[in-house]
Amino acid sequence: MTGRPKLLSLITGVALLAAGGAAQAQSLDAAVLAAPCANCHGTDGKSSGPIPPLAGRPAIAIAAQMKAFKSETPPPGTTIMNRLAKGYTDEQIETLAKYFSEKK
Amino acid sequence: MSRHTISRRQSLQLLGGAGAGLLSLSMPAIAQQAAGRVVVVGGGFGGATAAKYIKRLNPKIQVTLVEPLQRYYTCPFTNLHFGGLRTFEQQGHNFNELRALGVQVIHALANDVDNKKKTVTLAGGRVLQYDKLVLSPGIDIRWGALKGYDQAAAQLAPHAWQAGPQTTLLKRQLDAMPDGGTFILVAPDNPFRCPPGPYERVSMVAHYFKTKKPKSKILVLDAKENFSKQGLFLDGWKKFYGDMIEWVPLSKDGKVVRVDAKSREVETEFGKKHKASVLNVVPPQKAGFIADRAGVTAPSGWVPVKAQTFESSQVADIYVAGDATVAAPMPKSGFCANAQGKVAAAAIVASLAGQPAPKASWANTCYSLIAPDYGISVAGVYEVQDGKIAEVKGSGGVSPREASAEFRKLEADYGVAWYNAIAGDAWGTKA
Repeated sequence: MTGRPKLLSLITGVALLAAGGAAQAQSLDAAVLAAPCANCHGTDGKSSGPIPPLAGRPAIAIAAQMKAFKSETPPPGTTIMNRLAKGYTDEQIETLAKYFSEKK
Repeated sequence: MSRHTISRRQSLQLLGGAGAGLLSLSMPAIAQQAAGRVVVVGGGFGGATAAKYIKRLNPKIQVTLVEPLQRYYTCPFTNLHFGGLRTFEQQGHNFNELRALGVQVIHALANDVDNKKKTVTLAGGRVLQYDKLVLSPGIDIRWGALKGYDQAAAQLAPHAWQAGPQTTLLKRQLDAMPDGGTFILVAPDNPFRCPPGPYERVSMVAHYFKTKKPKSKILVLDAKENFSKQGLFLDGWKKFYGDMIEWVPLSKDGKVVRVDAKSREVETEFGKKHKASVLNVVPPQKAGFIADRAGVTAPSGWVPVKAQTFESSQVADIYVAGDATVAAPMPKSGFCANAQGKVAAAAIVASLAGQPAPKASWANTCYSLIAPDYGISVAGVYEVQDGKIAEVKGSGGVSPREASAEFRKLEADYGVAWYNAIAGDAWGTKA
């Protein structure tokens, strides 16, 4: 930025950070890993439709569900998540679970 | 930001001063660097997403989105319009959320790119300077690649492969067609936008015919031997539409080599002529022209990219997302364009901060509707292996061939939920 700070600067800065700051608390790697989930589960995992939201759910619950989807005997009613969950290692699943659990 | 009384420029200046200290709490390396200017060309799944996610990751970066249309219509879900299940307007999206995030949205056509001076020239002559450029131009039609199929022909035999007037033209033709007519869809060879698209379109036209014009026929003349989700489509067609749909593969003389749009007649490789009541030609395609102007298009007509970042393999500081790219095994889908836009966004944010690119990861899900309450899907998860994009072993695949009616109904419902979610993710709009 070439401009100089002016009045109102703090107020504007704080307002914008409040809106977009949470994502920055986690590493870009985790954000990129989690990015495609938003296409169905909503931005930051905040789904409002029939696809379940992920934001703010306990990490242990998200990880357990993903591992159940990944297994050869996924929970009844599973459609696409068996095919998607198999694309992630258990370590990646833990990263995803932590990422979404921290979204409020 | 457009809601604030101060101007955008002032806001950016303000952020440059005060934001840095606060940002440093969470993203020390990125926040303390000079932020940079990014221009994004194209307001579709790839471009809108890239603009939004750059702003989300670092609000200090100045982001300008160039898109001619004030209201952008997606190609995905227009097939349901042909089926009479959705209005055309339901596929339209505005740019209000992007503006609110502080993205400068300019409704103009980007005419040219100078990749040495790092400028984009808009129709009307305005010049934008960039540090990083994102191109998400989608496809252009290769006019004339199929003999007889030029822009004038498309006014008689629409492609409807870019949402807009072509979509509504094809819908009007289907509405005006008498019962007992023949709808012919000419399907192209790979690669092309939305691999399951022609076959979902045929399904939705068949649903429309079944309910309104049951004596009509559908002929698919295909330049390929196989197509996406083939078994599932063929099963579904038989189940819902009996013998209404005939699919002719390459080996059965399905490849169309000449189109006569005026008489709505097509000729195949071995000289057989087929006459349509409504003729829908999905023609050969290439990357949008601005990619060519920017020097990133290869002789193939598509844009090669570095897997890890989606930066052009040919020109530094130009990133490309979506259908224009060579990203196989990822398909040319809206989902992939969005996923690629996010990888490019993160790579740009990191690069502008002097940081290495984050580890890339993508996924894809393409839902297709064969009949109301009967949906199918294909999915994949992708990573970089040996510098190339590869599908994660053991992941992905299509819906099971044998599945309950409940399973198909769920996938039909999830298809709609996917559309609403990705529209919210890319444009912040509700469908």
